[in-house]
Amino acid sequence: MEIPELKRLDVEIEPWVCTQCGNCRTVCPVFEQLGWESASPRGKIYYIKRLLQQRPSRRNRMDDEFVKRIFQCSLCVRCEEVCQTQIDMMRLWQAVRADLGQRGLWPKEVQAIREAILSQYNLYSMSNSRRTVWAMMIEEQVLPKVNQMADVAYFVGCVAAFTGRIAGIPESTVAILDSAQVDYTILGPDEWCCGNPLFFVGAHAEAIELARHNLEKLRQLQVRQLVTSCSGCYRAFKNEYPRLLGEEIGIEVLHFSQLLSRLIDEGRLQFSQPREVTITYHDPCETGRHCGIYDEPRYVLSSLPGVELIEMPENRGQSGCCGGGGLLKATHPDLSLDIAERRIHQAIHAGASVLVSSCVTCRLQMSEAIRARNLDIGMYDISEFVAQFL
Amino acid sequence: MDPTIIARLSEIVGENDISTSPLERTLYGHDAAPIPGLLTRFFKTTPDVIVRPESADEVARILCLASDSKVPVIPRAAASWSLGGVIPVKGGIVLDLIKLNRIREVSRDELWVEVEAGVVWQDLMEQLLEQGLTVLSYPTSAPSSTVGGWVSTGGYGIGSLKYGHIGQQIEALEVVTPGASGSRTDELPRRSLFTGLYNHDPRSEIRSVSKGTANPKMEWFLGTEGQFGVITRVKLRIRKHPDRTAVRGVCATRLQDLADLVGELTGMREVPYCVKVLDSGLMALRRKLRGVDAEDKNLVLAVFDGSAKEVRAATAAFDQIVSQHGLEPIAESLAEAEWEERYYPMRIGRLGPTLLGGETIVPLDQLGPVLSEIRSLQEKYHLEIGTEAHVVSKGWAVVLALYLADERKALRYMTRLAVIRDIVHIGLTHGGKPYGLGLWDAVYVRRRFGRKDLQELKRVKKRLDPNGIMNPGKFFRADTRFGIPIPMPLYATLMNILSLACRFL
Repeated sequence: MEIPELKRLDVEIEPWVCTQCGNCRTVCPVFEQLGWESASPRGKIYYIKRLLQQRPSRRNRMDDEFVKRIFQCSLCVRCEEVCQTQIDMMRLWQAVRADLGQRGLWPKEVQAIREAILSQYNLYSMSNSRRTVWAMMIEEQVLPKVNQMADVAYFVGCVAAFTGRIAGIPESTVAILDSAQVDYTILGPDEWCCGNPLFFVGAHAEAIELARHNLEKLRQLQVRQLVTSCSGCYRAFKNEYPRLLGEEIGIEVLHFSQLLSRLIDEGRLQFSQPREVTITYHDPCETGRHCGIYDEPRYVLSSLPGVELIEMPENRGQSGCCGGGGLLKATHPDLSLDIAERRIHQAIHAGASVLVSSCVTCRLQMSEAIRARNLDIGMYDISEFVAQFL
Repeated sequence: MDPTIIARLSEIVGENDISTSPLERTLYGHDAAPIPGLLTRFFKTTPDVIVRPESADEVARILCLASDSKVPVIPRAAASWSLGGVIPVKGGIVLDLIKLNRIREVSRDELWVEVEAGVVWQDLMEQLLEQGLTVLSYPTSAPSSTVGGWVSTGGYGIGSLKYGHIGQQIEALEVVTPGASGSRTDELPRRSLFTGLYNHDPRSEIRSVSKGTANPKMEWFLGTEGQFGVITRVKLRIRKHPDRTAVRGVCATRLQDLADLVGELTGMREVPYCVKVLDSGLMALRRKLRGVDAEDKNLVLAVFDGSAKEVRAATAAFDQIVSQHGLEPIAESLAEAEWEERYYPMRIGRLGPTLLGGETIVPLDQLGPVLSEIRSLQEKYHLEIGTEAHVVSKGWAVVLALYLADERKALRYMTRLAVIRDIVHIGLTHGGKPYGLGLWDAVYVRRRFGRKDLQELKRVKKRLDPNGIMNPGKFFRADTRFGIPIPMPLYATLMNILSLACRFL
């Protein structure tokens, strides 16, 4: 059987170099929950190889269970960290998901997300004119910033913009930007989904329009620096756009934790509200393993008066996953929460009373797990936590 | 398989821990070795069902049912080996031990840990480290392989030079055996707890097994690849985590120089924790992978651990020995970087894309010639080969030779399999043994154990597994799905043909 998407994403060789050593099994959060070989990265890769070895025939078909397993993955790529032969797991999973899409085998949740993004330009199928709904309580502060010429653009992202439960993230972000006297703009209704959910399923061609639109709007406002508190948007702008468009995007892309680090260094943030608290930091997969941001958030959190930052045994490149990425939350919500619960227990076991992350999805996901599983720990995004010290 | 057996298995483990799905059965029908489809057709490698017992009691009930029904049972842990030990030969029940993954008890005072067989070495080491403890030795596959898996197979690895074979570290072993023919399924088969230390000697692994022995002995279950029962729990000696670890490296152009050095290192007063040799072929492949162009020499890596004082004394003694041999030490940072790579011997597989290999345990005084002869296979077969040898005792080294192949080119790939035979033969010629048997090396069973010990093992098999349900069709002989074993002459002829073809294809 042919899987042309492997060639398109330049991962044709990857299934063949797998040594089946099983290192990936030990760290895979999904395998840890399910325990079946088919749920492990190596099991999936072995089956992909078997498919490639099949002679082309009309009788060839994808196994339904395999299709399910391919979407039982948070794309955390911990598997890549421990892989003997350093397989490009992210691209491999993207390619296989893209192939399944072409065969019409995507789960209905994925199909719905795709349609929402392509028709409404956001994840939730909401009217994109409501992009600033999060700022309902601070309209006077935020609305004047929409579509203004500025050096810095705050790219809010679909999750933070439309999910009321975490409206505190964009609220805190603009509070900090204002406190540090950063001249910024937001795109408002002109902000389209960054396309990250489409990248997760290898639908790169469909994400091109989104990328072009967002970059055009940013360039019109002569933006030189893009800041986002969403690790998915950060990943899209930083990793996917240059690759997709075949050129540098010409705008510096910063995650909000990186900007915070700079603002602290420049003395532009004053923390006047000390608070004695023991916290731990959860590295989001998309800023951590995918993009290598480990030091800046730790530097920021360590700079807060009264805060003791402790580490969980799994941290940085070996960080556990929150289970919310890779569209797993949409396709397998219970499994996704089980993974989050495991990670939260690690934070509690480490002795932290507050868990901080720097990703809107991690924040949403872990807060939900804390509530649903009745766990005793506080959960904040780095923007929300830092804002408490201003 | 009779649906009533499936139903009864489901009753034992629960419906969430049984699978007959085509996908799962495909995935549980192989191990780490990429075996061509043409070869696997001679065996029924696809199991009928996979079950995941959670306790020794469940294992016992499954074995009882299987014994009565005369259905093969194939114990499986991480399946990170490549000799076919976990591949079904005649279908049957794959017993996935993944749920036996609890660390039962740790004694800081008496320095032991009791774990279930499916505990992964790396997980165990991380848990012990939280209490300032660590294991005595571990396999290079520690990130994935399990305690029970290593006890059932090779048992030599990192730390063996200082602390011996895994058997010497076991204080107790819980094993479930299948029980006698005709036993009723409501009667649990024998579940035994063995105590006492096992003194391992690679020349005669089963020396203490004798005809008519009244009770099963622990050593019957060490390295016998699930032939007599299922290991469910292991009590291991452990140690305090050493204060210091120092890594030293020495390189040389001539392999024999390093082999001589290694011999002397094993006699040091402060025994090194680990001594390994990486031949120039392996170093060349590593450099090729990194895109670095440099002269490729052979490397010896020695690791010392203990108190700061002990490590200081040991490294000083090491430096003196190296100087006496007129060899060239490498920078400590490079040596440490090599040590960090200890879990990744298959890194070079990326260059293949397929990686094949052979493993043998050889007398230490023959290490130089063995490594040189393996090196010569590069020219003989026009392939890229690299070898890593772990010194595991004062007299023995485990040699792992890895070479590149490409399974996408079916015919040529098939011929490359002959090189595995050559690697094992080089070891045998120099007084060595195959490191394991499984399915693919079962033809060497007599070479590994000798006639007398083999007879003893067969008697043990008959007694503990009278219905022959435990991992059948391997270890003692490689049985095809047609019930006909592969005889040595046929195997040798086939390998000779493949070897000849390999030289010219």
